[in-house]
Amino acid sequence: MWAQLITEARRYAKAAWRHRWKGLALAWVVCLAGWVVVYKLPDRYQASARIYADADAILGQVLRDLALDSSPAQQVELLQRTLLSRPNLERVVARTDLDLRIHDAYDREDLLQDLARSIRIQAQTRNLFSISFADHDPRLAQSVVQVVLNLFMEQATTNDRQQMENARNFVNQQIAVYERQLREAEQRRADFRANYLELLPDGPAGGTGLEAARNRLRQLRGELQDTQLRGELIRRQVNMTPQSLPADAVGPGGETRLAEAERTLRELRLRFTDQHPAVIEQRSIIADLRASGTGGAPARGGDGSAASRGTGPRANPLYEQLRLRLVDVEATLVSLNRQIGEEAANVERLEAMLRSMPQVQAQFQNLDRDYNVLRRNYEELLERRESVQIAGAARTGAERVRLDVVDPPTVPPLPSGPNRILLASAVLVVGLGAGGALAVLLVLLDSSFFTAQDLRRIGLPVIGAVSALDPAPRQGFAIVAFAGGLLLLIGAYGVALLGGPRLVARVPELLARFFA
Amino acid sequence: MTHVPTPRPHLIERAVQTLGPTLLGGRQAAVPPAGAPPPPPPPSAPLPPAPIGLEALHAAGLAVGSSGVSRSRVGEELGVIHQAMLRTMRGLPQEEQRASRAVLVTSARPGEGKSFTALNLAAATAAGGSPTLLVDVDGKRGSLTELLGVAEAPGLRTLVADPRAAAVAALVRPTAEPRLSILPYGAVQPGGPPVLPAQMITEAVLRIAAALPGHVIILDSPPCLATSEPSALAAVAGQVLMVVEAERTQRAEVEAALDLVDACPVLQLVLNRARLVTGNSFGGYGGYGTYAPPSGS
Repeated sequence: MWAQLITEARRYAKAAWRHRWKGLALAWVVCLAGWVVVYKLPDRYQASARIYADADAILGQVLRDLALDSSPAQQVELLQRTLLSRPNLERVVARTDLDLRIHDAYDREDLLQDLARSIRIQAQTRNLFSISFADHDPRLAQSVVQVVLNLFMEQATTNDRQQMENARNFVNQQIAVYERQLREAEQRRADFRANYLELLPDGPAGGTGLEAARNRLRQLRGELQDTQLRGELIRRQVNMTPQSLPADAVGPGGETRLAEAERTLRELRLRFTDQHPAVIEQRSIIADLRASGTGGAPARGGDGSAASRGTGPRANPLYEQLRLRLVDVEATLVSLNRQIGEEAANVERLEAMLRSMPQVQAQFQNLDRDYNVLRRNYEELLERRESVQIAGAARTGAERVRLDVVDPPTVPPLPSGPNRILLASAVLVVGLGAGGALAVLLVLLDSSFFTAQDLRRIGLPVIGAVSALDPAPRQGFAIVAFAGGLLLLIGAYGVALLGGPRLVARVPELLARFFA
Repeated sequence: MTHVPTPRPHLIERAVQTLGPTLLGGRQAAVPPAGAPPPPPPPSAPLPPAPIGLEALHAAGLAVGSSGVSRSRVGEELGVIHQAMLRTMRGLPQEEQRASRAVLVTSARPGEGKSFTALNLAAATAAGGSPTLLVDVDGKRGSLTELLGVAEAPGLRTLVADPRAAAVAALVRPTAEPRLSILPYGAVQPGGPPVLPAQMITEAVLRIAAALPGHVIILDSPPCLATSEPSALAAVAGQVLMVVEAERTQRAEVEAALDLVDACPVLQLVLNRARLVTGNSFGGYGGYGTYAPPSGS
């Protein structure tokens, strides 16, 4: 088994060795052509810019509960994703010299797709972003990055403002709606209140109109009783008091009537003004007395002459006074009775009304609650509008999403690619691989026979094998030559790396001169 | 062993390189008959031609034979082939119009070692005790006839031009090797075709086989893919040995050549010039020198 494997391996190795020069030649051709292509590739210049997009932590915390806002980190991510949209790319093309490269619609399509692929936006840390683009024209690379950067900044600000504007519009709209509802509720509540004013409590602690009317009625009735009692008392007094005094019934002072009248006048004047009818009447009585008697009593020496002149009993002033009171009290009674009647009617009416609409109060409470809810929401919206205004002010004052350009894009002075060393090495590997592959391919195509076993596969008897008479030619020189060819190829690789671009790029020229 | 070749790999090149001296030597061997001990001439030959010397044989590529000092690897390998050939020959049925003792040695392309194989196989067979006739059917330049320096001698052409049975024994040239004789292609006959038609050759071969009973007849033919003789000869030969040069001849060529010699029922293959020694092939266990007889004997 092993012997067979080894035999096979030796067989194939031997077969491959026969094709060594072809493989080496192919490797040389591939490597030389590959290196020329690699060094003929145009240089690529990479321009890049770095942005610090700060998610302004302090302001964010201040405004968190106050203003409507999405988180700044999200905003930045969104920006990053929407930045390379097709309209934006078209803007990039329009604002740079890239449109000079467009000749037809296919060019345009290719260019846009190429841009979308090759403009790179990367987040270096949480807040640090880099935008980079590579082109064989360093100025163009720089201007593309600049335009993308500008677009980024523009979008950051407009996006934010739009959001703010939307929020404000929404709040205003809501406020208008609530205002209308609030008005209606207020109107309903006022109408209801006007209709059922007496049945509704006056204020938070006040009683209803009905209760007030009942209280008033009770009070009036109490007053009526009081007045009736007073009238009774006065009437008894009137009955007990004689209507007139006897003539000799002089006062203890033995005064005359004039003196008595003057005393009465004084008393009256203590209680009344001069214009009071009682005062005026007393004055006229005094004037009469003076005119008739001219101070009779002193003239006749006492009341006796005057009483005798009166020829009858005199009117009792107390009695008259009591009668006067009585009239007064009766008038009050009449008035009270009328008031009681009215008040009772009023109470009657209100009670009837209450009986007919027992749910008035509940209805009113509902209305009141609706109104209160509406008013609370309305006030909240007003507050919110205020906070939006504050947020807007904060935004225009200090940029909400702060964008700082850390590294502005510059025109790159040195090419950044292609990585020629890597490519040249890859070419070397590919060349050697191609040579090896060619040898393997030739071996596979080679169907010659190496051993009697090989020959037996034809299916006919093999009666023998004759060894080569001459010894195998020495492979020493062949090995040395082949190794020399390989080493020369690797040396050429070293030359290509070190001697670099100029030398290799001139190879076609040199070859042309050589063949010419 | 006796012939130390130049390091060139190919037999033909080697032969071409050594052609001049060989021819010269051949003539020298042929003209002064004092080169080698003369073998006993065939008894029935009225005009016994001079035998071909060992030097000429070695120059033509003879690697084995009775004169060998010691066993060689090639000798052993050829011994195996000759044994197999004889076994096959014994097992063949007797047929009309087919010489079962005739062995056609051919190949797909020129230069694969037909002449070398035929010569050495014939020598090995002769050394093994069977009288052997090696017939050169390939008359072109560089063929066995030329290599042996007998281009001017009468041979197959003479036989074809003068179809008399008795002539066969007279035309055959003995060699320094016992029991080995050679029938060259022969000089161009006046009025005869420069290249013999295949039909005539087959008839001649049948006549030779009839004329020399008990001989093993080995036909050294031109390559299959170049000429028509092998195809025609296959119809009369008892077996065909297709010589395949190792590491060179492609399988498709061998198969095409085998198709051409399909007229013979017994086809066998011989790998020539094998260089890759494997453990499971003949001679893989080295040190055959240990089997050499003591040098004194």
